[in-house]
Amino acid sequence: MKINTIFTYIVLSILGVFFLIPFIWLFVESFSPINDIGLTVPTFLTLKPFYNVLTNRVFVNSIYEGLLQSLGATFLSLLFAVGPAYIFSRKRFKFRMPLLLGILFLTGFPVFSLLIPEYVFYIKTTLYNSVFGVVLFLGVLNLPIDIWLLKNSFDQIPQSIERAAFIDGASSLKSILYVFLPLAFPILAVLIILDFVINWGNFYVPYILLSSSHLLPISVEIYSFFGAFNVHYNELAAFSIIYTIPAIVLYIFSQKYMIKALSGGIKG
Amino acid sequence: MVNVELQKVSKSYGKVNVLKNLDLRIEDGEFFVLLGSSGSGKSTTLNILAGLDKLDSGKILFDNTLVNELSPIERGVALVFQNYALYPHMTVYKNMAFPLKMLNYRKERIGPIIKEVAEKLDITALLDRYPKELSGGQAQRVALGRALVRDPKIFLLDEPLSNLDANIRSKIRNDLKIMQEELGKTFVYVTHDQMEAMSLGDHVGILHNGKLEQFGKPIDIYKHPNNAFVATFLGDPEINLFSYSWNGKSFDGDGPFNFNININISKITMGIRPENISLEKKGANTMAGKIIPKVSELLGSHTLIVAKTLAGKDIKIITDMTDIPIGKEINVYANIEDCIMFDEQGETINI
Repeated sequence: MKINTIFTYIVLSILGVFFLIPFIWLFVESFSPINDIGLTVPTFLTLKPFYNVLTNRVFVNSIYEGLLQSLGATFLSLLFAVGPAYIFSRKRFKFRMPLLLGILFLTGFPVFSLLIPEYVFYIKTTLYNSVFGVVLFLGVLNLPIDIWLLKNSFDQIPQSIERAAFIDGASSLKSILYVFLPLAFPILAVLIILDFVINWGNFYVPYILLSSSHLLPISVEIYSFFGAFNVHYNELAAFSIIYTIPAIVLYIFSQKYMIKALSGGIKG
Repeated sequence: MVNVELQKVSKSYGKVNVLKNLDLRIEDGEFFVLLGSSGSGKSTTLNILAGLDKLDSGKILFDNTLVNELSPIERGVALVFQNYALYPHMTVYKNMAFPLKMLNYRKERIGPIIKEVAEKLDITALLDRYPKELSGGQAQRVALGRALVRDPKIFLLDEPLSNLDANIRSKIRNDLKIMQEELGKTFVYVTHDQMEAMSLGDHVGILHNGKLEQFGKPIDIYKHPNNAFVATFLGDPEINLFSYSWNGKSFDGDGPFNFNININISKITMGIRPENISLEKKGANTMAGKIIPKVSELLGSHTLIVAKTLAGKDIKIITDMTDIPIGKEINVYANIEDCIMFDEQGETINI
């Protein structure tokens, strides 16, 4: 091995350790009996922090709320992305390009600039402090990128296949259902993960749009640890690990499609 | 039982006029071939017949009923695509069941229909496969099967052989012809390959720049082309064309023969097919001339000679003889009756 390569490995290893330390701390801390700050070797390992968290009704409820809001918003954005994606991909109409670029522009639009007017709007309607309000807002946030990615994936479906479906008697809706969506399934799987992870990790939207504590999702509930007089770091760590599980599970399930989607997609 | 009629059909994409007042009549139960080079409007014609494209003006009549606004299903047409366009995520069975599913057929009704069609096409063994596991010929048959299940009145085929390997192309071509005769359905077949058109078509329509140049039985078009374009388009190797002008006593030009015909045009183009020129004088030959062979290609049963006339023009001859002396002047003979004369606009002159 050349000296250069060895050097590269050493530097990368050190960097890797730096990146890993927080995770290792999180993992070790979640099994520790006492609330230590800093990376120490615990005297014995225990499942007590997990037990404490999972038997706490507030925490369990926040997991439920988190799943409900994230999945709801994911479903909402995909549901409303399919139609526009199909139309942008297959139909030609006036202002198609400006609209498409507008959507692209929206994908980079900062969320926080919308939150304050949205907050005022929600207060004036009945949407403030309701799960539906949060689902709606999160869903709309992901809509532009969903439309774009889905449109690009629809673009790859050969025109002759669409025409074949038409000849075979499929309406636009039926050809979306039976031909376009199954063929775009890899991208769809990726979008489900992407949307879910973004929604699951979104802190500010539920934090600002919700006030009742029984509605707060897990991302906001984690923050409440720091408000307490005595911070239970081992329970916080355990809760954080639970917090990462859904995303990991989804990744594992959709790995197959991820690879497909990122390595070429649909062939006719 | 369907006669198809196109009346003054025009279609343009943006500023490009693809079809210009096209008139066409396709008889019931015939194998009709639409022949044209790329950009001639043949695929557009097919799409308009299928109902995929709307026409700008004109009428499409199926059995004297106007179908301009009807969907492909209502017209009873099925289209086989050039690349077959099978649904890649469905098995062969599901591909074939799709049109029936769209008509809300029940599962119990779909099964027997597919079984029957699959047996007819000899694809029963393929029903569980996915399109990517099929060879070109198999995919072709599945595509035909998908068209067949709905029992359409008219089959439209868009260059179905162009994606196949050369060695199975002629076999599939024969299969298609046999199948059409067994089914007794109207086939409209679009191609740019004159061989396919000649061998398959009951009638052939030659399309050029959105206009129907000639329509008729293949052999009639071959023997009596309306103009120089059609004459050149049909036949492989293509027809020899020479320019001639009247010199006071006879027609004289860059072809190998001089001749005398009674006509009051001074400049004409003479066309003669390669197989109508012979190297030996036969009883009735009325014209004789000289050529200098450049290359001779043995094509199995016959030989193709590429030669120059004494005026320096290329000429192609098909003959049974082998041992062609390259580079030496040899005599050639032909009958004036086998020649086709064109005027300066390329239109055929009747002698």
